[in-house]
Amino acid sequence: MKKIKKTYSILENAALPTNQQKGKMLNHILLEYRKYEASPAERIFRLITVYPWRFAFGLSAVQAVLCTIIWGTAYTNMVFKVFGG
Amino acid sequence: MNSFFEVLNHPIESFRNKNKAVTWFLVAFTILINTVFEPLLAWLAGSQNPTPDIYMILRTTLWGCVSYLAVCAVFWVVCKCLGSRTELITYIQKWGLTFFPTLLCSFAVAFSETFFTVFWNNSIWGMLLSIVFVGLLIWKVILYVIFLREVDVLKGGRIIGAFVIIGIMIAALALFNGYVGLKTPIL
Repeated sequence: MKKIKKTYSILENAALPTNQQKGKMLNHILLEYRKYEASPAERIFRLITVYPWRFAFGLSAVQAVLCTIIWGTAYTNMVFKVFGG
Repeated sequence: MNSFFEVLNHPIESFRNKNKAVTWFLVAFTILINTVFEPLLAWLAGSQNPTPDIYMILRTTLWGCVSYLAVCAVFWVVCKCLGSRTELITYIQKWGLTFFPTLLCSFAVAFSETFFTVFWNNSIWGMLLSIVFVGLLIWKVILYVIFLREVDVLKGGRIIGAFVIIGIMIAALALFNGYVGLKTPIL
């Protein structure tokens, strides 16, 4: 009877997650939670940090179109001078 | 390939994970495009450009590597003074993850320098290239701020301090890079 109990407890312990695994699960849950519960500031933060090129090129396109309309080639030539050319 | 897309699209996660291979790949390619591809392209495109000099190529490549290590050292020193505990080796392994825009910028610079006459005084081409250049700059700044938050683990006012101080150092290093012949700074 004792032996059966011991075997049973070994099996039970083996099935339990280790501390490392528990940490991983917690991190995963927190990450998922942050995905769904977001304040406006956090949403803007995520808009910028996830796919950063999307935000960068979007802003840049607005800037380029506006400045080219206002100053024409004087502006684009200045950009060339600054960034190599 | 997955880690490439992670570095491209999810920089925060990529700084948390280890992506050493991507780092070395990005840094090496940025340096090589600057030092090997650019002179070759200029040489092949026009007869007035000089034949690439192998010593010049080796020298600029060496300066590129030095410049990468220098910017990591700047990060390490400044952030250590501001109370960060990150090791120098971590910076060397992770700063390269912000090199996607630098890599693309060195491509754009190579073409805009070589085919300069096409783009000068042309508003359509000029507008397109200014979208590219300014966009890459904004992208790099975003990655720079994320890097300060994630790798340096600085908070509040200190992150602004570090941003300004390291920003000035980066500008100085960029001028030095231009002086030794690297048209896109390896920073």
